[in-house]
Amino acid sequence: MWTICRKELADHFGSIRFLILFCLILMVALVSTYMAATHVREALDGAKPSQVFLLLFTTPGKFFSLVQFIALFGPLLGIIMGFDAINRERQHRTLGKLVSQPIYRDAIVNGKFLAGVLTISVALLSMMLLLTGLGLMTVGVVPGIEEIGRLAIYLLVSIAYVSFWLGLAILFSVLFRSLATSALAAVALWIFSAFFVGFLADLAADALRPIRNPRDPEEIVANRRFADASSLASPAVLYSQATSTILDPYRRTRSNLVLTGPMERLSLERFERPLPLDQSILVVWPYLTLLAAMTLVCFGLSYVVFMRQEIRSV
Amino acid sequence: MRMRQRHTLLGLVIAGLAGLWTAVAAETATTADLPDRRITAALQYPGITLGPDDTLNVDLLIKNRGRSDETVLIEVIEKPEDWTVEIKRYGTVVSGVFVASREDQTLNLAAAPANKEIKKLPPGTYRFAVKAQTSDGALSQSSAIVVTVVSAEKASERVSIETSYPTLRGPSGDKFQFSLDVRNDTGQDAVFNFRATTPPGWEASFKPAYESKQISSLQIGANSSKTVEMEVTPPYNAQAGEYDFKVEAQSPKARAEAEVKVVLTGTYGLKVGTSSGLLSLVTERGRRSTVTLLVQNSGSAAQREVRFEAFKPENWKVEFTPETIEDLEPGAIKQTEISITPAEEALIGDYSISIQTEGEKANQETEFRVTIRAASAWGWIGVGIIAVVILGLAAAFRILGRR
Repeated sequence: MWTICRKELADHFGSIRFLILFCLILMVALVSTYMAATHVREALDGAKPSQVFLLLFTTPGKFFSLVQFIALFGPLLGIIMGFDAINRERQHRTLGKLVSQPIYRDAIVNGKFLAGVLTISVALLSMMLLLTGLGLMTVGVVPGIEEIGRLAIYLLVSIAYVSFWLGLAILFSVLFRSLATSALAAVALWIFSAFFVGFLADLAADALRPIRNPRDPEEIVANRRFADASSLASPAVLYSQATSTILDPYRRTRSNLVLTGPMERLSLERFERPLPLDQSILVVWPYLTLLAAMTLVCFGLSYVVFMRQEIRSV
Repeated sequence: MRMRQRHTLLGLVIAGLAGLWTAVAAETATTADLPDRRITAALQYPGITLGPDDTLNVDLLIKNRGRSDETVLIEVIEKPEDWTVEIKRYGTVVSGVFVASREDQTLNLAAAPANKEIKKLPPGTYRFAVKAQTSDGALSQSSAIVVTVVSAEKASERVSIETSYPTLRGPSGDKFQFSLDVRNDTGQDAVFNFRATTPPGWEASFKPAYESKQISSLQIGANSSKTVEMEVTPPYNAQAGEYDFKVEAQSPKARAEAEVKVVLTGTYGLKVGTSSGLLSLVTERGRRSTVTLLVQNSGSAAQREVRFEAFKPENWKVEFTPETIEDLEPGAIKQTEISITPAEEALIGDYSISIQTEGEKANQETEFRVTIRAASAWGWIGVGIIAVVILGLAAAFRILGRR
């Protein structure tokens, strides 16, 4: 398994594909640091919020923040890494040769997955470290332990999320013989979950929980709750909600819309204090669990399918 | 209609003209009525009383009620032997004055002991008389004044302090205001210094009536009175009881004093806290948690009933057992148990719950910070799901692996 993994890593790092990827990462890091840094400075002029360092990652600036970028295009990274993992071997007729080597068959899929995860980790980690370094230089804010913890968890969740798409792409590459088909299938699913689920959720909410009276808060809340709940079917939404709670210590709940009475608001505003890290994690724990489980299930499926496939005849 | 109005107007004008004419006629009549020559000269007072530090100054009024102008000569016809008397007008010694017809003139009679060494007036009774006569001696009139100079002790009695409410009652936390009427009968403007003698720990201050500035002295005109408010503040730990105060008003020449009294009734105070001093608690959504509130009567009067009220977010439940505390003696401590049940859909984070403890004339607000933590039960369920998935994966590895 480790041999396969090492060979795959060498493939990944040596390819033009990786060079392009590296340039992309560098560019994104530079642009988002620049934008975040200018905006964080503006934000620091007024009241001093706590945990300023996290703002570097979440301040959108003019176009996007790093977090938004990873949420949107991270899946593409996973798909690029995995869509041709198995069926390229098939097309180049090297799978048979590979299996005839003294290695176990499961080592092939495990090694490929592991190499993909490692590459993703390196890419994401380097992106974050770049942003951290540039942020330290431009803004001059030193992160505290709490912030480092939040960023570490964010990194783990992001790796798991991108790995989910990697696992999905590998599953498609096992299922479909053609490179184009598997790439297209994975990309189609990505586009669907990233762009259309929210729209569909709104439609479904309007159909099932219609707002008859636009002044009735109960109805609006029911409608929004249903839309939020159904949009959770998309892993992209799951991921963005989980990470926004991790990176924003003032977010106290998973849902986007909260109904509070006037007394409750007063009572809450009295001690406005960021949540400790463990509480933030517990708030989004169901999402984190779901993401991790989905990643594992995806990989498990591709494993099972690959192990049961007839490959000698190819 | 219109005609009638015009008639009314005409009538009014005629009546007005008639009135005017009558007035003019009366004026000419008074002038016509005046005698050929007539003067009046008199000292303003028949007698005055002075203190030893005073100076003798009396106005001499001269009136001409004749039809011709007169020159009136003034002569001092009677005075004590060792006194000098001067008739002055604006500081100039004069011997007479010209008084036009129907006019008045005022001269001033000033008298002092002839010996300049004597600064104080010697006590005794003195008589002064002046005679006014026209230059041709046709008319003359004399006027006299009796001056009594009293000793210093008697002079001071002419300043008095009076108050309508010499005794005030109230709880120890209050301020007490006495309204004092200070009357200056010395016949001279004077600045009075106020001073209060208080029991230890008390504070007294003086204010003009209806003004907030504090003063220590006040100018009071001759023969007039002013109202001064004296405010006394008890010390924070004042016991119930009676307290006497002495107020003094003192001018360089006179002084007066008065006694006032404050009766303190008991004070009302409550102290509220928890046994550990912590005013925060940690709980989960929908989970009841309790805290014991200790209530102490920090006043000096008993509290018959202490009630509680909570300012809380909607859908939260805050209950007190017992709901009221009865008969809390001074210094005694009693407790009540507060149970706080957050709403099921409360947010994770800190909420503020404030408890109002209301007794008689005393209340106390206690603020609690209630931290809602996420329930960790779901965390373990999540861990369980992951474990199941990993187990499934491991099973797949075992069954399908190594082929």
